[in-house]
Amino acid sequence: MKIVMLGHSGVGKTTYMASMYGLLQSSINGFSLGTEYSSDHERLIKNFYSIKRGSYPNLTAQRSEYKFELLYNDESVFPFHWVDYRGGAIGERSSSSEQARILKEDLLNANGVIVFCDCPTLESGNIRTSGIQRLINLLSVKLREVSHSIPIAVILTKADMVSNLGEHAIKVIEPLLETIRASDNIIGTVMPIACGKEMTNVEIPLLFNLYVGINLDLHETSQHIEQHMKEAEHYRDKSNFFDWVESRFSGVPTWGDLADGKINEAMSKYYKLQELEPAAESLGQYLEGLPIIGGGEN
Amino acid sequence: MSDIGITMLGSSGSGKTCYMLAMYAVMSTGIRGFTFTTQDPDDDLDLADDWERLEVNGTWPDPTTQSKDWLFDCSYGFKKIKGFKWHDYRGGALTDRSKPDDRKVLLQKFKNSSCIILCISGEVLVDGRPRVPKEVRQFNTLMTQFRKETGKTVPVVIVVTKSDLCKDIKKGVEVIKENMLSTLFTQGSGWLTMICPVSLGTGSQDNFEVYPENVHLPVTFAIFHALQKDINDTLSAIKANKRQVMNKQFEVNQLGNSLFKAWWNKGDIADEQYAIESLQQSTGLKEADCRTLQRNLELLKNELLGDNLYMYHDGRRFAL
Repeated sequence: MKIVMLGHSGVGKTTYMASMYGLLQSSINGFSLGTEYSSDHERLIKNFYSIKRGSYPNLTAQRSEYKFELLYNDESVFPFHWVDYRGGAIGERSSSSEQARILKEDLLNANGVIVFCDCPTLESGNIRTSGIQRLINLLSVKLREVSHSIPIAVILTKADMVSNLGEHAIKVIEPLLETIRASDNIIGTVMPIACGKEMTNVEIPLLFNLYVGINLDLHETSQHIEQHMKEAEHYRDKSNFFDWVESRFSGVPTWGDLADGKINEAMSKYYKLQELEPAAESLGQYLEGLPIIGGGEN
Repeated sequence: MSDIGITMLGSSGSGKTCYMLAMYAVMSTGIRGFTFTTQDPDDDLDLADDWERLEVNGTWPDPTTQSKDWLFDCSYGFKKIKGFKWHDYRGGALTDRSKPDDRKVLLQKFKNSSCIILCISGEVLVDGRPRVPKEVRQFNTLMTQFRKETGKTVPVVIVVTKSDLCKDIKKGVEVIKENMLSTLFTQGSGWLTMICPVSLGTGSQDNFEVYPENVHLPVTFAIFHALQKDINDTLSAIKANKRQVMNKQFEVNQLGNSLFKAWWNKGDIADEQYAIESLQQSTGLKEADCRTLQRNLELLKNELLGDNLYMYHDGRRFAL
């Protein structure tokens, strides 16, 4: 699974990433995060503790891709990729900016998106300066041909900097939410978060994306198992004595051999299913009650 | 489902480029789940910049000196409903004899269009005495030529730009029908036409308040009719699939109409049954596509209900 953060410069993408990573070093409902490279781990933890002290990371200068893994009861259950990039790349032309071009590719290949809007900017009530239109455009480019389900978490960052999101702020974000609601394959959610001395809702957007990703994986695996069993049955139907004789002379596998091969594939996928199901169930329990928007909820 | 081509015609200064900018500004954020997005994200930045100059600085776009094709997607819930190619051309290309290539390209695009949008400025409809721009006069000839050369009609939207300048829009509609573009409103002509007043806002050039109205409706109308065609095509494909399934089922019956034949032809029967399953699966998918198209059609239809739209078929006014 590949998760891409989408948001303008300064909305808090890098802060969020360090915060969610740091928070998930302690187990939450059995879940924690690991990363492949110790250098990434050290940098993220350092940033996390700085954020806890009220000191925020500088604006990201370059794109970085992280290989994380979700751990359940200290066992790795679900690896995923995470992309952080310079927020200014959103407003650059891919014809002249390499980072913009790579961002577009990242988005096209993403299986989950976290969209960032910051509360103080929303409070201004100005759709144009909020940059919502650009976010909608990039999401559209990504989603226009996608027929499978995809999780999108819309997070309202810096929620601790506003006392209450007023009507004009809701008006700014409403077109984005309306479009997600109209979708029949987006599984969306929206929530305010805060990263600082007090962390609010920080782990939820990530766990939400992973929960959907895991369930989609389980669903796809079940379908593959079903397909393999069907194919095995089809091959069995074609198997007969003459097929066996032909195979002995020509050396090609019999229909029966092909059927056995399909059954083995189905079994190996079944074991994978069994490993993931407990984690999926536990995540589902943790996220129960989370408001879902979009037709994917069906 | 293939993209459609939309050609917008109108005299220089009639507001074609401003209309497109306003349409995109409104629809790139979206209305009720519908959005228009550029297929190339770089184009989105160009259009947003031009609109910002108009909205914030009051800087009107320069007259178009180069023709360009813009590629858009109309989406609902981020899912593409229909792509459309928008041909923005140099106003005056139709009548400028010094640049015959421009005219040739425009006429070619015109002939290949799925919808024609003609811009008429509300300014020429003021005072009830129409000043008929040269391009509009030519338009009647063009539409007759179009019909003759292609043998078909396409939906035509007459966009009354700067409609805030036309005090009596109903009178303006009559002027368009009777004096300017009677070809499109003649009974028996077969043309499907909509007259749609649009506005960018109110005020003078130096003191203009931007407030776009109805700008999304012309393209919505074009896509509505394109979807109707897609539904008809999908229903034909479903019918063809079902016919194929019936033929294959007959073949299966023939192959296995005795115990011996059923055993001897076991492999072929299994293959045919597999093929039948695939066809049925494909039919199922097409039926699902059809349901989606019909749902999208209903959603678009909701946008086209309103007294401020004037729709005509074969010269007779109708409502959806």
